[in-house]
Amino acid sequence: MTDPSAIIGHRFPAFEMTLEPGRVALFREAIGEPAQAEPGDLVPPTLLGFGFEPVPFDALDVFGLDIARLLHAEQELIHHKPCRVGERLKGQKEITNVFEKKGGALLFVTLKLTYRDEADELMAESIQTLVVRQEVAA
Amino acid sequence: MSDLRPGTALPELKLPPITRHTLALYCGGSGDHNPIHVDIDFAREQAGLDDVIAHGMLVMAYLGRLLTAWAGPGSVRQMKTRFKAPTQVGDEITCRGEITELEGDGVRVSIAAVRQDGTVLADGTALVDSPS
Repeated sequence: MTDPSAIIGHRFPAFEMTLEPGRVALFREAIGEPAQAEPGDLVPPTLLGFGFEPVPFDALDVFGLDIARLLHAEQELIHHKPCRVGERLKGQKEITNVFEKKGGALLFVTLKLTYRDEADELMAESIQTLVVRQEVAA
Repeated sequence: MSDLRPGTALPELKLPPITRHTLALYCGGSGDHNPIHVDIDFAREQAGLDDVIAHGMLVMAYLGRLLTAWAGPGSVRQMKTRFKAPTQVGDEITCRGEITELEGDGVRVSIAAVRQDGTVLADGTALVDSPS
């Protein structure tokens, strides 16, 4: 890759999604909680972290990277207001940082995923730092 | 909650051993369908690993459970985690937390997920509403 930093600021298509009870119940079951979710229930704190968005791996396409070389390095979640089952959210993801370490062997990509509620108020932010193992020419 | 001060430990959360079934459920439940977590052929042949590895976000979800079990559903205002070692099938994870600071009506907590041999799989900090 010639200049990864040229990608900083790239925005992915905005999306909308509903926190459907069935999906939240399945998430709860998967983390060892009771498989229950009713409209109005508060959701588990990491629900919106990574994967629940419609296209979790869209950043790989921007860089032409291989999912087999991807690892999750760091994750931050910020909840600005309570998030409940049944809520309809608007999401937007952007690339906020790109940098290499170890002479290019590791490519770090930081993504910020922002969620707003129907009143367009900031609901939550998920800051995902992914790392991709790259081949380095000898 | 009587003892809200720096140094106070949260009640531990001990999880059953990670199984392939755990990972399959988290794959479907979370929406993170990266085959590196569930397909051993892919993990070996494409990723060069010996076996599948767990989703970092599964470990973070357990840390989230540690926090909500203590401070209640919806109590987590912020949490940040670094994934320090790959979590493998068979790992028995214990989640621990300790109050580091009181911040207004919130509590800053250091958090860590550790497996049976003492390896720290993930650690970080969280800000939660004070448990009532």
